[in-house]
Formats: sequence, C-alpha cells, structure tokens
Amino acid sequence: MIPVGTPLPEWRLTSVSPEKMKVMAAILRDPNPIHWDRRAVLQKGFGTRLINQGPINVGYVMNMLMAWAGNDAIRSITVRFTANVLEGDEVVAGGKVTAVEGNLVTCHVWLERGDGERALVGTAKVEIGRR
Amino acid sequence: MAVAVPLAEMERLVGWRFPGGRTRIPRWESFLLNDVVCGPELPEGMVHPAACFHAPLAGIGMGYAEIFALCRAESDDAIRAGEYTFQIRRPLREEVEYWVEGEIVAVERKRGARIGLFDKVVFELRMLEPGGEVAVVAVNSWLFLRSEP
Repeated sequence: MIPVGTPLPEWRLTSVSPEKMKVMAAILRDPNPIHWDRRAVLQKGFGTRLINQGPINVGYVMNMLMAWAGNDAIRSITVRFTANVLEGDEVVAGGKVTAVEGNLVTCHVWLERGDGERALVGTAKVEIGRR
Repeated sequence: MAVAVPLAEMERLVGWRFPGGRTRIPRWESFLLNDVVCGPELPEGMVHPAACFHAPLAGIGMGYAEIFALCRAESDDAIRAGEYTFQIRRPLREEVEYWVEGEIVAVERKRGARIGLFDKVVFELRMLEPGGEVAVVAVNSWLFLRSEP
C-alpha cells in the first residue's frame, strides 16, 4: 500500500533542446514559429529563446510517471499549462500521491522550471503493479 | 455594443460532430516523438502517450485552421490552450489504423483576470482500434479570446 502524500521520484532534464522543438513542430505540423524561429519570438515580445511545445512538457511528466509505475501504467492525465518552458531551461517533473484505490493511484503532478516556476500542473491516475 | 461573436451562436456548437476519419502513427513518427520528449525505451510497437495530444486531431477530419474558424477565432493570437485530459484505456500502437470520432461537448463564456472575455470550447475526441475498442479519449478545451467594444 502506497501512503497518501508519498512523493514520486523526480524526472529531470538539465537543458531543453531547441533542435527537438523543430522536430516536434514537424511531427505536429504546427506552423507557429515561436517553436523554431527566434526572430518570431522576439517580434511577438516573448524574449529571445524558443518556446517549448506544450505536448513535450506533458511528455516529460508522462516520463516521470512511466519511470515510477511502468510504461503502460498511465490510465489518465489532466493538465493545465501555467507558464512557458524555454530552450535551455532545466525542468523537473514531480508528483505526489493524493489517493489510492486498489491498484489505482491518483497523483498531483507538475513540471517545474529551474527558477522554481511551475510550467504545468495536473492530476494523473496510474495503475500500479504492472511492471 | 454587443460582443462581435454572440454567445448564442457559440452555444449552438454544442453537439457539433467532427467529420471523423482514420489515422495511423508510423514507426518513424513514433521513434521521433519518443526522442523529442526524451522518453524511455519502449516495448516494441508501443507509442509514447504524448501522442495523445496530436494523434486524435490528426484523424478528426479537420485541420486546426478549420476548427479555429468554426469556433470564430478572432485571430491566431486570440487562442489559448485550456485544460487537457487524456484517458488511456489501451496504449497507442505503431502502424495501427485508428478511427477517430468526436464532438464539441461544451461552450462557456467566461472572463479571466489576465485574458479578459473568452469562450471556452470543450472537445471530446475518441480513438478506436480496428475492432471498435476505445483506446484513447481526449477531452480538450481551447479558449477563444473575445474583443469587446
């Protein structure tokens, strides 16, 4: 039995890659240049660094859950974006158990930048014991 | 003066069904997706769940621009991401042809401290395996900012 309040092992990335954003833009067929053209970022007043795609940020949180509970353990995840993640940022995905019902564990999850600001927050349900 | 996009017009979108269609995640796309999210080594054929973001939209039978026009977006800069929920009943698999269906399930006009007046449009999209079993349910909301006179 996993006690409520148990912290999940963190998942950390020391530097978000601008090259991976370009590949993701192609996968998503996302024409928004804030993910691949620094001039566009500047023109829109967002600074000088490329902005990571939201789906990549959620992917980091999913990695944290998969490392903890297994690759096919995620049953649901709800997220809300609260800040941007920029190229070169360090990010840490974390979480905490908030409820346990049989094999189904509910967790509060988040992605935090190196400066301490949370870029996304959410709730996930994972099925444990699938490893 | 009234808001340019009447609320009644937006509320009529509730229940609107997407055309639907088929989608498939090829091996190369699955590999690259796992690489860009710095994912773990996955069992053969499994797709990283981050695909739940784009895979349903890829098969819904409409592009982003058409969806934004349907929701009367005032400009590309007047759209914000809302909340995203993904129910993963079965992990997505490479090279499987999924049927995607879905509809608009809610429209709500709200006011935010930072973004002002907006319409929250909630979509539910479902990815079905060839046998008809639902693999993924995605419930996403987008916020369409409304200018006021």
